[in-house]
Amino acid sequence: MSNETGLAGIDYVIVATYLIGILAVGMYFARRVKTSTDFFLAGRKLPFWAVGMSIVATDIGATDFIAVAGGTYRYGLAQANFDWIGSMPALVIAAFLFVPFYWRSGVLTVPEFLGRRYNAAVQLFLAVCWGLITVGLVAITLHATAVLLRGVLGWNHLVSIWITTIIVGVYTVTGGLTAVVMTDVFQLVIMFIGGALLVTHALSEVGGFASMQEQIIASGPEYANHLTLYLPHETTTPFPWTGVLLGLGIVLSTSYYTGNQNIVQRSLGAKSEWDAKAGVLFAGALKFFIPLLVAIPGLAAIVLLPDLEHADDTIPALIQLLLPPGLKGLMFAGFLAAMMSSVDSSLTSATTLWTQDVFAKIRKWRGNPFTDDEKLRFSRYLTGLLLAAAALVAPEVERQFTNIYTAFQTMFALVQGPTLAILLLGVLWHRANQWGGLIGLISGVGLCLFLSTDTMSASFPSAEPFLFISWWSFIFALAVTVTVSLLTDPDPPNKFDELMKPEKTSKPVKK
Amino acid sequence: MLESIQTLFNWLNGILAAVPFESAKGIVTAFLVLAVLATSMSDRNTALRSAPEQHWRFDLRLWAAAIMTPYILIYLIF
Repeated sequence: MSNETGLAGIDYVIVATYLIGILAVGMYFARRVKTSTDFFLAGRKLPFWAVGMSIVATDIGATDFIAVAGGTYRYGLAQANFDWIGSMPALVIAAFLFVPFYWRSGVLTVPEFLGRRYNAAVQLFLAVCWGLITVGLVAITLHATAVLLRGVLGWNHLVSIWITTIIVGVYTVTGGLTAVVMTDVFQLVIMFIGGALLVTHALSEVGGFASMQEQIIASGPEYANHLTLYLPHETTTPFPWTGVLLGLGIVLSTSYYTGNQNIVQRSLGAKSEWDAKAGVLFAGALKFFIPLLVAIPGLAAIVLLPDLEHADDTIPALIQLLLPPGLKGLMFAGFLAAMMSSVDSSLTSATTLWTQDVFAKIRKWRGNPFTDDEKLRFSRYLTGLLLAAAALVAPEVERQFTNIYTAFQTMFALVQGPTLAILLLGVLWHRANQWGGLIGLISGVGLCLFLSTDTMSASFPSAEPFLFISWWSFIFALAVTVTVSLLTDPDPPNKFDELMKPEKTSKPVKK
Repeated sequence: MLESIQTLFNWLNGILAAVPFESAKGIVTAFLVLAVLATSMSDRNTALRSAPEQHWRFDLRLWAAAIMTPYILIYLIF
């Protein structure tokens, strides 16, 4: 009883069970939301394991499964750098340097932290940038989910978008971060089970890891670099080792894990400072397995499917080739889990940014600040509104995928280096002042834009020079922030001390 | 103006290109080991602040070292 897409009756039962299960988990935890802190920060009650699992579920989307496996098939093991050197050193820096300050300061968002460290203009600039990026990510992921549902189940694209929107919306609008984190935990387990099944079957089919290595090397000289993490500086691939170390290992990953609201919000919801830090480290332990689950199938496909026309077809083709009915359904549920966990997390972050850093600020400036009830009600309406807006934009992503995807990726890359520069100086150097932070941020973003032009990007060795652009924009923003800070009056000394000095209590500072 | 900026970035890229490829494994591994050493030098009270118990099992410096070890091995092997 299998259709042309390869799913059998048992697979549909498994997928339906997953969808019902995710709704049940979401709705169960949604009942606990009574205040805006419950909604935005899960009432600051999250244990470390939930923080860590939610960070990984948020970080890994189905597009990662498809793109990393495809990238490994095309470029080799160097693709795994994004999840190895591109995660653990940054997570260690986040856990030991940034998370304690964030957690103790009692902020809800990273822009709010930078707003208190520098000024309201820095907060507003970053909140609007990240607010747009996260809503864009929701639209792109909704589109990707619909493509998967259409491809495997044959559903209409628009219907698929709205079914996903309704399922995610039901628990996110009512449950906020609590429901999102707990569904993330459930979704990560499904993702790991699905990934482990594929790895086991792929390795068994190629005769084990050592045999796979020998067969890849024997496949021809074009595969000579497929089993190493290091590629030369002058390379046609996007992963020269210099760019991987400086751009990815130092700038992009550190900025991603310390400045991205999607990620940081989970540790802000931890029940103690220790749980916040331990959760971030635990995410690092889990992240180690992601390339194993995704890159190994990509390598095995070189042996099993040597003539694939499109590298991104690696995972779907392996599923069709290797998995029996039942396991296909479980793997498909894993994909859905990866996508839905990204949608709900981006949505919660977008709501938090727009509410806390934009609308709450405006209400305060107008002398009519939100009460807690108003803020909770407003956040719920806004979550529904942003999700609906993303669902309306999602079909447009299909029509203009390259333009929209590139626009959001570019925006994402533009803010990362400069954000990290002002975050680092803000935490480590008391002399960094509001004008240094603001001008460093804006000029760093400006340099990124300039270096991304065709004329300038030709100056870099790699075909995709974003790793080098991030590195140089980070260095430039650091230099500008230091210079401007030294040339202008220092901020009042208590401004730094109030935010940054360790508290005697481990409870977050009440504002 | 544009030409001088391009010259600057060509020069900066030249510096990176001059680093021998043979040293890549050593430099990257050293970077990872440095991250572990940096955490191990942090204060014990900071690592255990608000932990469920003041026991070595909850010392996050040990967690960081244990979690980083497989990453370091991977970068040494591959």
